Amino acid sequence: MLDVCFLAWPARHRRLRGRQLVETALDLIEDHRPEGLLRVARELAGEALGLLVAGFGLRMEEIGRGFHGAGADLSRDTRLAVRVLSRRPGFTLVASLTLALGIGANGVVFSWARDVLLDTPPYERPDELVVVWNRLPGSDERIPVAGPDAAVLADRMTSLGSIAFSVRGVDGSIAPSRGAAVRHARIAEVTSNFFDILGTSAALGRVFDGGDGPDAPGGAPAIPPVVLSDVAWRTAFDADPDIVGREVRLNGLATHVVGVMPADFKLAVSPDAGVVTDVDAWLPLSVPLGSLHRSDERIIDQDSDNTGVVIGRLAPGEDLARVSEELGRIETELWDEAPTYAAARSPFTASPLFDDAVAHARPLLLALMAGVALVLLVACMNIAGLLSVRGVARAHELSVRTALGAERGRLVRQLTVEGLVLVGLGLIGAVALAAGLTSLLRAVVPPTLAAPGGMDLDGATLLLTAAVTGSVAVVAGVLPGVRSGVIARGVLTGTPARSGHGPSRARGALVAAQIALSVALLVAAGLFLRTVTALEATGPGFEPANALTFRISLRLADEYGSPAERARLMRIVEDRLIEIPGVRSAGVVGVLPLGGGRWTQGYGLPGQPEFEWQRNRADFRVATSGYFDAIGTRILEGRGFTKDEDLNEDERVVIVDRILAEHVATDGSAVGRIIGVPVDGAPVQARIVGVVEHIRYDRLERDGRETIYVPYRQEASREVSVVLRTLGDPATLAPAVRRTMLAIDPRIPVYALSPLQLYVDEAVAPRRFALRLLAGFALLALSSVVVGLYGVVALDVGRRRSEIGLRMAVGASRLDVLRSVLSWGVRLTGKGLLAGVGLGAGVAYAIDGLLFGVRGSDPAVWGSVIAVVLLATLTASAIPAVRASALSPTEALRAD
Amino acid sequence: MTDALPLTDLAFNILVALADEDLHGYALVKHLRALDGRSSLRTGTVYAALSRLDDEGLVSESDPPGSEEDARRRYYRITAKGLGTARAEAARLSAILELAQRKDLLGPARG
Repeated sequence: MLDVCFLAWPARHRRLRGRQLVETALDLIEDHRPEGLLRVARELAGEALGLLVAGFGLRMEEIGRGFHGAGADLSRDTRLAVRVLSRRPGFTLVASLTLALGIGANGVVFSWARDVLLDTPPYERPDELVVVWNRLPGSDERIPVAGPDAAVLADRMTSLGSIAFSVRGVDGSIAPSRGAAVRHARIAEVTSNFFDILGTSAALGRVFDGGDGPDAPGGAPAIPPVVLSDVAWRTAFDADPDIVGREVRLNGLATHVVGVMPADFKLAVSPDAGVVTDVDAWLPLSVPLGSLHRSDERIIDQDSDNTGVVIGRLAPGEDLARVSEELGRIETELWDEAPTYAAARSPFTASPLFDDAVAHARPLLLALMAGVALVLLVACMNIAGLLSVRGVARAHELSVRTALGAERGRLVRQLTVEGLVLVGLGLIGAVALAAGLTSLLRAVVPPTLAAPGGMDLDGATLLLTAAVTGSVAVVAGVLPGVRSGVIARGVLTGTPARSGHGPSRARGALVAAQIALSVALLVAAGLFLRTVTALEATGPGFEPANALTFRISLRLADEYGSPAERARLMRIVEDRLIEIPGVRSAGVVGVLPLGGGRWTQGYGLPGQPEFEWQRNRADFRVATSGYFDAIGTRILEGRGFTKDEDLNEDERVVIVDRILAEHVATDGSAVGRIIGVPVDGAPVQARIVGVVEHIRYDRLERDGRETIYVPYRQEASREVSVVLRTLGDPATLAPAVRRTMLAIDPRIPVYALSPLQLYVDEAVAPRRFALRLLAGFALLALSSVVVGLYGVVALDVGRRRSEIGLRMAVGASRLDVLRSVLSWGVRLTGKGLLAGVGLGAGVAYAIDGLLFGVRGSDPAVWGSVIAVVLLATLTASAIPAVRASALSPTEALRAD
Repeated sequence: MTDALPLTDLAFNILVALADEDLHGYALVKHLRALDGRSSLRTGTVYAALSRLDDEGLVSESDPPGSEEDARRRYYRITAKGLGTARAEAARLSAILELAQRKDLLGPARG
């Protein structure tokens, strides 16, 4: 790659500097290897660009030296080029449009991918930041680290200079003052060094310091300080410039604002790790990390809130390998010290903070980048084909000019200028197109694929793609001029300007290659189409249509403090909501399907000793008696929860899903069996009273973990989701639901009010998005194949006019002519298809991990792709073929 | 003394770097990157500047010093003309700096 870029340098300088330069660059890139492949790639790209730019600069100097006073020539050449191009508006339009589409699409997709994959949030020296997770054994699933474990890490790690912890965040409420209307707010408690470790400062006021934490002399401040996000500051406080020092209420408790973060600040962690990233308000942890599991005196107080994300900054001279090594050691120490740890055995893993944050998006983004690069390749081939076809058509003009004494250099310069004018036109189109595409992309990109810092069109990326396409265009445009010297002799000796088969074979190969690339793109698009339809057809275990959901948070300081109170409130909520006309049933659950949260614990099979419980892990969900009916999940055996179990706790009962039932009872029914479940860390026995259909809570495409439902009364979580089964369009009921909830208690924030279907749609969204893009790419490629094929076949016909005329004169029928012309297009198509099948198989293999419900060899996809390509290519070559067969022999013979 | 003045920052930095020792490309890039903390300084940029300096006769290629070094690597050496140019540029800059100092632009303001 560097060698190629080095070619941009003038030959004299290239000779003088030699390969030495490239080797030095490679050595410098090699220095970055420990920082990861992405960094190396970034360096490589930077060096390549540097080479191109420097080479371009040297070349301009050479040219400047060679053409003193060439300005006048240049403007004359430009005028001439514009005149030549405007004389052929069809060609100019197609060529510049091809360039615009190729450059524009690439500029947009690569800018976006760059933003997502490489744009680190505004942290100080982000390369040094490391995130630590626990990982479920035997799976790639991250689980947040428990507070006490984070305390141990902060104590014992030496490879990380300092460690910050953020509790994974909860939904709560924020209000400007007591009694004012509340808003939903995501709240996270962080250690007081959290912002310092990231190296960010506040936009207004200050971030936390040592005086805000529990270690401050005199303990944590009585009125907790709070740092607001830019969004919360703008929406809840109208961007009040005097906000710092004001009192605000978080979950009903008084706090005072010490700072507001800049708009682009957020914690960059993977969205599938169960950690809230769009935090509205940060509070300093008021207790030491190590005592986190015992604390209930905090604004956030729930057992499951004690886990979170550990962020560390590498100590000087340390690297990730050292961190992992140290984590392994501490893990073993922990397992030795506490036998319960040994049973869980969820190892720590460390990764670069930002790499981890974008890991989920990388495969799909890489697939899309590859796709759009193929489009650029097709565009380049197409432009090369078009220009070379055109060059042949102009060969006569050029050779005559050469024969009349035009300098070869003069011709080359003029053709170069023509190519550049064309590229300029394409670039103008590309900028307009890219601007439109970027805003379109911004509107439709699913949140998990959006760039953290917003999406911007990157001018350098756009220019780089333009430079690549531009050089292809110039080379393809100039080649005929260079050859015209040879042709000139032909003109003088009377041979027509039809020079052998070489270049026409090259043009054929170009078209065949474009066909192959289009096949690959179409196959990818087809496979994604099947994936999306398969995902939409998947039975998730519940009924997404005609259901309305919303979430509420019960974190008021002075009320709903006990499970019994919360359970009574849920009964009131359900009873009132069901009175709304159009609501058929109502139920409450801890976390909705596909809603992102999870609560995973070990459980005991009948008779299993407690230390083995961690081997069976299930998702636990609290639910009320109305839940299964409201969400539309069938009860397969036994019964659901009763209204009585919603309010009273007489016996520990659970309902399990089908998968867990099969696990518990390999023979007979699971109903009536006793399993062990942890309650507040202590083991209790619970009786299975019912079995329900399995719900895909985690992802649409796979079953996920077994599920255990416990009555809401028993574990009454402070965040719940309410599900309403409706008679008609659920969205129309939203205002009535809000009014009802306001009447029950205005201090309870109602949020995420949306149809249940939305969760399913959002789960499909990334693939649907990829499908749209890929389909667009494939269409672009196919249309340029049609243009390209039409071009070469028409050229072929043009050059064979006299031959065709002669044939017809000696008795060939129109059909013969048609067949002979078509056969060349068909042969090209055949070659292209053959190569395309190979390429497409490779593509299908590469994107296999992104597919669902369809195999890479799916006959329907392949069949339709081949049919579409055949149809398109036959049409493209049939038009000139029909025209050729309609020639009258005399006319054709007169052509030369 | 030469029409190369004023030098670009990069050209001047290269001449200064080569003033007391011959360097090969890799060491030179590392040195320049460390000098102004720009880790994004590209090899191509440095070599292009070297090429220009070479064209003007301010630097030349030299053999590796001693035998312990990798003989493949090419070293760059400042020429007598290069040394003169660097001196002239340094004098020019120093005159500017002196002026700046007189106008209290250097160091903390007094009074």
